[in-house]
Amino acid sequence: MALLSLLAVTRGTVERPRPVWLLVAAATLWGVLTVLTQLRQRPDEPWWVTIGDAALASVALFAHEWAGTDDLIYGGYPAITVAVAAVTERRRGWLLATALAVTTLVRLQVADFAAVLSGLSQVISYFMVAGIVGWAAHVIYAADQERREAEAGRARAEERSQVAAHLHDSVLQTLALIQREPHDGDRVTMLARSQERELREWLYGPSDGPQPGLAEAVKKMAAEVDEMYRVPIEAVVVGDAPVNETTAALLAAGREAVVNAAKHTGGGASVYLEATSELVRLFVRDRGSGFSVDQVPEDRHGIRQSIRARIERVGGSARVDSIPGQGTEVRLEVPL
Amino acid sequence: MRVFVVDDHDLFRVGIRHGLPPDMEVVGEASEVNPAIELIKDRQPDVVLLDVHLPGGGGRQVIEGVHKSQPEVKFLALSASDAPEDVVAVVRAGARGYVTKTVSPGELEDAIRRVAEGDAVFSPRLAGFVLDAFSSIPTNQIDSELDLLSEREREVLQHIARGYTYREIGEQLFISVKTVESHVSAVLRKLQLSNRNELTRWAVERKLI
Repeated sequence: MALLSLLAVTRGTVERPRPVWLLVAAATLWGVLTVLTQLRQRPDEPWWVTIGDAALASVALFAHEWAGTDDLIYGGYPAITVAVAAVTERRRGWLLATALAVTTLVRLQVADFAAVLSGLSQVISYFMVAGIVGWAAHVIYAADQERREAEAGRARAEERSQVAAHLHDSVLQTLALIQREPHDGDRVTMLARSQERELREWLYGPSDGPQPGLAEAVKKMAAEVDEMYRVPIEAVVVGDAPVNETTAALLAAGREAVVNAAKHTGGGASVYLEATSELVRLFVRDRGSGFSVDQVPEDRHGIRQSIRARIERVGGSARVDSIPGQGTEVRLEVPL
Repeated sequence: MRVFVVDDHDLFRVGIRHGLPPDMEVVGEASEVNPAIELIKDRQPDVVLLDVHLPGGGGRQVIEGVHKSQPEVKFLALSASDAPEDVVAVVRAGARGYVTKTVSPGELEDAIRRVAEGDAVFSPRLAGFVLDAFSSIPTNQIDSELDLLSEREREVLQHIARGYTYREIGEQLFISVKTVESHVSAVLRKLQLSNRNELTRWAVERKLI
């Protein structure tokens, strides 16, 4: 349509070119807009698109009168609609395009028969072109979809075989071990708990490999103490930090504190790690009977010294709070 | 108190039935999504114990299904996993709290009562997750109080993550237990309502949603 208008204007047969340009600009913008939005594959054509299409087309039908030319510049518009309809396969689009083509022909009847014939052949060729364009786009899209689905299917199959392998290796083995010694309650609990933890880690942990860092190290430490002493140690981690000399000292001190809690209380402990880029804090809370500072049992006191020494050596601070009857909390803090 | 149990493990449901104190009556059980929704709407329990991993769509479908017509029913999510993605989905769907199945009977009873009173139940793991999620939002992109935890809320959550009970938190921070509960409820509401791009992006990065 743009090309035809251009031709007509340069040939000088257009008396008032400005409406033509306006119309071309509007139609081009509209075409671009609708194609862009429709490419997102919504299931039904929004009503505003239909109305916009109809409005623009009606204007196009009368454009040649305003511009004062007899050229069939308005034949192009239905073709654009047909092309859009072909690409997006909306039934309404097809209907509208057909209606527009028919209307154009009817308009032409006012002119003469030769014009009708040439108009008809133009319209038919437009439909054919649009049909081919639409079909080609569809084929390309379908091929791309297929390739994507094949890839996804392959990834899924691989993951499934990994799951199967892991299950076979560790879980089934653990179950076999448990069946062998069903009467040793402690051992069964330990085996079950360690396998549970491992499976949970594997299922819900980061799927692109383990992240080496303080967060993982703390969780691992908690799991190890849990298994060794058979008390529940729960680890909660917020943020992460690299494992360097400072944080390694924190980890070691933390481990001492957790082991200490496990040995002396039997009720388990809660470990909480909070790491930012400037500061790392580790809290170890147990629910033992607690102690008041005056009557500290000997080795708990000793432990405190050892923990404090480790932490202070790397520039951090350690604090132990204890409330009789409510347990003890060790707070370790190191700067990064 | 009327309790309803939704879980696909028969043995677990039996265990719950026998583990609850006498003043908590199990008024119904279900093991699948649609029967659960129908029975809950019919029996109208105070609290529903809901396993998040149900065949046929999971716990959040039950919550959404029931809340459409009866938004006052309270859900306490139970799960074998302690994974953040289960927690996110279920809490945002409307659960008032989340406990793992390894929790002791006493803790379960306590959690049920809390939820029945309209409070939220946070496990240390969930508290840690919330702290992590809300701390990742850069300060210059916060335009609603939903996107931010107040200093107090942060403190309360941190103590929960450290393993403190509400009573102990109250003692530490010199506030009443009721105040602790209201802070926790406020955090729950923020978690449910905050649609911050950062929160979503954080979750997507960790492949949680």
